[in-house]
Amino acid sequence: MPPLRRSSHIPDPNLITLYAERGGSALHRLDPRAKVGALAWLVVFVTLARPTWLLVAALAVTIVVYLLAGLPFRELLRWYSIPVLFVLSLVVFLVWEEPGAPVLAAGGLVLTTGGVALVVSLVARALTTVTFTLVLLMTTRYVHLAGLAAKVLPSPIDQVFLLSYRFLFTTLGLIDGLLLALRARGGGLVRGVLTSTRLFAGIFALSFVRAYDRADRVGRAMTARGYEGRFPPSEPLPPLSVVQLGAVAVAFAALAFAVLGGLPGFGGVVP
Amino acid sequence: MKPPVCCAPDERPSLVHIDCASHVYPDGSVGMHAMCFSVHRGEVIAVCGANGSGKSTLIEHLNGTLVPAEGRVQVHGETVDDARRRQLWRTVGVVFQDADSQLFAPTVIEDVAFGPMNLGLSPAEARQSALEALEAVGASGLAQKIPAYMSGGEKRLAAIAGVLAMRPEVIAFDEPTSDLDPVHAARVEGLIDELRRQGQYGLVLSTHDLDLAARIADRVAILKHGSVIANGPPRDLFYDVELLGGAGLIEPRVVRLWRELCLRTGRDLEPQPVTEAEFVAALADTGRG
Repeated sequence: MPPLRRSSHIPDPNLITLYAERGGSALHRLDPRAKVGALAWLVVFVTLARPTWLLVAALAVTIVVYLLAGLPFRELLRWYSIPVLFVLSLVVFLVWEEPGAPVLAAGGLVLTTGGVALVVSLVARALTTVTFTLVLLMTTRYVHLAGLAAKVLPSPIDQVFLLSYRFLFTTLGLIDGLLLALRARGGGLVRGVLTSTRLFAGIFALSFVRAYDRADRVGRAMTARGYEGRFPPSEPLPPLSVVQLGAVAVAFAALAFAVLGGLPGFGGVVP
Repeated sequence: MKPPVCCAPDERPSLVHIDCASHVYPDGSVGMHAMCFSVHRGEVIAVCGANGSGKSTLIEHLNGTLVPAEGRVQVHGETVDDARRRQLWRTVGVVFQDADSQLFAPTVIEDVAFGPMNLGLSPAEARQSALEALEAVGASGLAQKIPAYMSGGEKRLAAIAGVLAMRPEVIAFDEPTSDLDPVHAARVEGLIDELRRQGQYGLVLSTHDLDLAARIADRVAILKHGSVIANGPPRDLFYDVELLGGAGLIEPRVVRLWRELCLRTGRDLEPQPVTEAEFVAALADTGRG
């Protein structure tokens, strides 16, 4: 396998595909419908759960699941940098003056324990979702994702979804080439952005234009092999696992009970 | 400039025939001008020309992905109308120059099965057809591979398998050996030769590598400014320095060497070898003479 060349902070779709197609863990063998259901459950869970410790625990459990699937941990830590930066850029204005004991004073602003808890909660929510999304994508073969999309989404939305997913590969591949060309001539992304912002904005925009051009060629090649708006999966979905889907349903029921019953950690949503 | 060579009557039934077709791109550049071109079963025809001479435009017309503004495309002697054009991919398969643009599925087997699925085969039949095509190109081991992690040569073989799996009557190769190392280039060349020997396909290859065309083509069409300016067996065309120079092409290495040898020894250009094997045979004859 060639060495990874792309920015180590951008999830590598080819690596994701490699693990999805080649992996043999128990998670790879789970019913894809159950995994999608579990992701939906997790999103609802981290949205409704309040205590920071519970959210951190959810993140820890998700990471354990990720490791049990035999997925690469170092890459995961690197891939975390972009969602963490994204969350921090959103909460930078919200964390100050929260109720709680002061931790840090900067200028006229005070960071409290409540503010720190807010940051930790939001980061944990984001990373839990990112981690399990990666688990889903890295343990589910594309043909099964395509099969699910074809079943769940109406046509042509399913085709748009599937082709957008593959378009992401094209775009990231071009950005990969761009970064490689930068490094080959001693350049760097961060340094370049800081010193030649306009030039780099142009290059960034151009990479999308090129990706569109490339996608157009891919589209022509598909048309040349008879693509007429339907991309039928070449393999059926695995048989429905009643046990696994039942487990997801029970988890949803438990969550609904916790929320509607106003259990500790889910308070404030009692009808 | 030589005028376009228009369709000379040919008694052989053509699989696909392009009849005085023209195509102009939206920016006004001429892709094809009064192009006449035929593909016959069991024949390898090399379309040779400089960059921008219309090779890729011609191939996309063969496959129906481009439509001529003037002229017509015929399949088995019947003019292709709009409805039939959309089905032309069943008759003409194209192996694109950039294999990365052709391989879009996550694994090779799914990509190769894509065409057969569009032909209406069941998933199981499509996969079987894909496996057979991969075996035919000697790349069974690539079935479960992910294209992003394959070499350029492996990608080219997988792309060829993707077209073979559809069992078209005509296969068009756009620059089939460009960017390949000598081993993979020889493998692709051998594969085209094997397909020719099977006799069931019409094979078109666009190239500016006249050495390749000399080795493998039964017939050569020289393109310039979107028109065929010469059409015939390699031996008839590759010794015409004016023709090749005018088309922005360089004569094959064997022709260059033979011409130099004849110039130095004062002998006649006959038998005009164009392949290395012919060159060696001619050289041996010279020695005996």
